[in-house]
Amino acid sequence: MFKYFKTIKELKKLRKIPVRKEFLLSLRARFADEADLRMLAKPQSVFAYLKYTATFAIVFMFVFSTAGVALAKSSLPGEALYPVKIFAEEVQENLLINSEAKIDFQERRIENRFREMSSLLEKGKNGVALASLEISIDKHFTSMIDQDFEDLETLSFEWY
Amino acid sequence: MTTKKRFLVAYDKYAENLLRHVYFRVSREDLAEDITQETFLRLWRCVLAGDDIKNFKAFLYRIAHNLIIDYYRRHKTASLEETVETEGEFIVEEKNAFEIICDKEMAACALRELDTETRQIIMWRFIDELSVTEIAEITKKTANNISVIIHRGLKKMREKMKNV
Repeated sequence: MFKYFKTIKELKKLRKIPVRKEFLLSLRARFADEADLRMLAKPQSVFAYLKYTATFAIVFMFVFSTAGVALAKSSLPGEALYPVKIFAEEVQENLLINSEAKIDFQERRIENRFREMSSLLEKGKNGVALASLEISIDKHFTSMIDQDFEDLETLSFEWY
Repeated sequence: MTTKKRFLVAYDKYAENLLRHVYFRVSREDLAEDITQETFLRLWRCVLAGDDIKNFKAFLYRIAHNLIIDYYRRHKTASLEETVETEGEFIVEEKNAFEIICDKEMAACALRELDTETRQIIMWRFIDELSVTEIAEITKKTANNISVIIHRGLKKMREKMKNV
């Protein structure tokens, strides 16, 4: 390889040919954003919070106390008590049997998310928390529509 | 390391060189950027799917190589005489960028004179610093075969550069 030393040296100079750095930076930013959104879109069970052991211990105690749930009611995304609020809502939803009540409950959840969104905007919070709320609204809306369709199908079945 | 972190580390490490490599092979900046973006997008999907990628660098260069070949096939810029078939693989004569930079860089002129396959391998080895094994993995040739091509390519380049 020694006899080709000069040739290789000249070849390595080609690494200095410039490329558009702005393109590379913007592409990187787009991938980073995409990664953040994907992490938010992942359905997170309550047990996903297990990794934050210390926080979990406190949250766990609150989940099973009425005081905790009441305190969590006014919490916003990104705050420590917010997962408690969501968990309490999930429990409440699962306890409902009547489909009309379920639809009403989903409507209330959507209203809550919108209220949280405006509170976040008032506080000037960043887009990540807002994006998570958008995902939640979408989820509640879908389950509301699904429930509605389910009712309609049952009704038409009974009719015929 | 999280999925996001693994991907971004690979991006920071290889994106610039990969973009330059693609530009050398397609000689159009916009097209090189599109191919680089698509390459990383495919890597991102594989990382998300939990695929076991042992060598990110070789994987990226392999995807980019396939995308470049696809591009030339789709656009059929090469005539039949310019398309060679070796061991079942088509090698299309590429419109490389070395013509443009030949007046600034001596090596570019010598590279321009090489056949497409030798040029690609020399670029991978000495500009992108891929090992012979990695190049063998990309091209599906043996390491010995790659070493012979590199040796012959360097010899040709040295002669061309002597005459400049």
